[in-house]
Amino acid sequence: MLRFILHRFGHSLLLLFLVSILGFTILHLAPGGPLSQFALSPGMTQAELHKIAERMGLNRPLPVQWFDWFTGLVIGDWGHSFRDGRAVLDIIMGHLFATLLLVISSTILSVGLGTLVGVLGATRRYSAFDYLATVGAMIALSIPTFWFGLVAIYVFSLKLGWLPSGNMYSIGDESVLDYARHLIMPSCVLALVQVAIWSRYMRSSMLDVIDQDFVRTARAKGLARSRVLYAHILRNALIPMITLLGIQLPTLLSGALVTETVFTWPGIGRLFLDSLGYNDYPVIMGVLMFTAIFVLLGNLIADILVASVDPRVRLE
Amino acid sequence: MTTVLTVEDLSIGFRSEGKVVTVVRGVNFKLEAGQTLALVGESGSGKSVTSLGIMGLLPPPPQSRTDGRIILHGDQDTDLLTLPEAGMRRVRGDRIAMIFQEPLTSLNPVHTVGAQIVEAIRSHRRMTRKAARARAIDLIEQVGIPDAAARLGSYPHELSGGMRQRIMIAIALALEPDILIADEPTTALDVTVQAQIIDLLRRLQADTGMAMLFITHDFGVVADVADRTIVMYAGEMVEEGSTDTVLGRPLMPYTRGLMSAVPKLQTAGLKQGELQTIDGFVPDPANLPTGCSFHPRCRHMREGLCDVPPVPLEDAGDRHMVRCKRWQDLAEASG
Repeated sequence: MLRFILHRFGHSLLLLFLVSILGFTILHLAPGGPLSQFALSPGMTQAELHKIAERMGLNRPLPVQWFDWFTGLVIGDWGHSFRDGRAVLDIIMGHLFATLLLVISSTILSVGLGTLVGVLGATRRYSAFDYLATVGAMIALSIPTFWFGLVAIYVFSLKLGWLPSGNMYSIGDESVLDYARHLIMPSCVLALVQVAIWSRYMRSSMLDVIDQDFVRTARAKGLARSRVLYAHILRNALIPMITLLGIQLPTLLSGALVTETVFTWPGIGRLFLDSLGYNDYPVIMGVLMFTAIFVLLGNLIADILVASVDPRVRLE
Repeated sequence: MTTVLTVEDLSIGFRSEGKVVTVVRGVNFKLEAGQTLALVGESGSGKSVTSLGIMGLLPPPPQSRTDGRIILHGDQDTDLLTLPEAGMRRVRGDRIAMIFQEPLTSLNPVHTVGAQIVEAIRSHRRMTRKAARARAIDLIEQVGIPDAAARLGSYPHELSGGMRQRIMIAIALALEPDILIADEPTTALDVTVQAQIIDLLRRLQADTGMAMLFITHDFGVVADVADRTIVMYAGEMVEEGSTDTVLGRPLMPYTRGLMSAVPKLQTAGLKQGELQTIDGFVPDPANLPTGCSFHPRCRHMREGLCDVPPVPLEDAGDRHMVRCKRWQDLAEASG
């Protein structure tokens, strides 16, 4: 087990190294370049731009710039924002809480609801409920998130006035209840698509297990229906879901971008979008690396969890 | 002899594309305590469906339809077909237990074998976990697995196919059922392991006096285990009798065909490597031939006789039943 973790850890470091090269290269291939932000300042001259580039080391060859940045990454100095000069890591951490709050609450909601809908759909296959859930999931998956977000704001903020239309808290309030009121709409909108995905996966995973021989054995033993369902079917059907969660959860860190933008939620997704708009290269690269680390970590944790609930899986 | 189960005129159908297709028709038999009845037939003959019908493990209506009666005898007789699910649940595992063809997939991979035995016991008996574990160790010993206490913590994938089938048997025997249904329990196993499992089942039957319903397509196994034998074809009983009679003096051409399709090391009168087979396929239950269902595949078919219904099950004497219009001619012809 320890060997497996160390092995995977080494693997992950190698991957991060590659991601850093790839991300850095692609970003610098994009038109504009890191200086475009400064070029917009009124009265900026070519000579001054050159001076800025020299001061910031932007006129050095790309590999040298990359090496400089990467060594900083390793020792925890992720560079400084072109916009306000703050340390990148501080900026990311400042947005992390908002994103985690949104992602975790919507994941709890979507995993819980998705599992329930999937299980009910599988145990009542071809029933009216199953049909409705299937159609509902298709609708949720085919309509873009921002549209749901805008409709929710229109209905619940504008028309009914029940919930705030954006931001994480009201200035001057900041109580738990206030946070909660701000959280409801974005986390529900973000969860909507996730519920659809989860319920579909859960349903098909359940159906894979329901027809297995050991389920027939469990029934032949005269076990109660609920025991067959939970101890035998669900227990096996949840195993592939852990892997799915390990992949899905970290991508939400930056993948909640649309939801965060619609609801002006101060999370990492919005930070990423804003930084792209400003050509704020250090922050863009920082968010990229941060997300990559979470994805790899999520997968590693998922693998360990799968091994601990499935005795057939041995971590070598 | 005590009769523990009576199956009367059992018919089972499945709903398919709006129509009910009957796959088992008019099956009658009795199970006696301490005795073994073999149900023999090809795939699709209805033998496994019959056993699942007895266990109440068929898909619920309207997907399936059952007619007839399945009487479980005891302090009072119960018709299992009219028993509600809660009552049926108490019968399953406790009064009637079942083992299956695929020991490799019949145990839950994520629970230890100990947990799976204990679960069977505790779902029917008020017993502490500790007492149930002690009983599980006894059972594992009883089915001939060494180092029983250590095996309790094993997962199914850590055991061989033969071992897993022994665990299945231990689970089935946990509550000392009156009836054990064994659905091709040795088909998936190596020949040597097969013999061990059959020996084990026979020994356990002698110890407990349970009745066994043994489902198989293998006449070698039938000769080994069964007191009486029923041959099934296309959902119907086509021959029934004591195993000695059915195997020694088969009357139905289908039974003879099945028996000569069994590979033997030496078969008198046959060239080496030549194996007799029955031409054709088991008919589609939605589209059975008229008259005798076997007539399109039968070498002895007479037009105007065999393809005309009804073809009743006739008594050839000494409780030897056969469903064939020509059994008397054929018996004379073969001497």
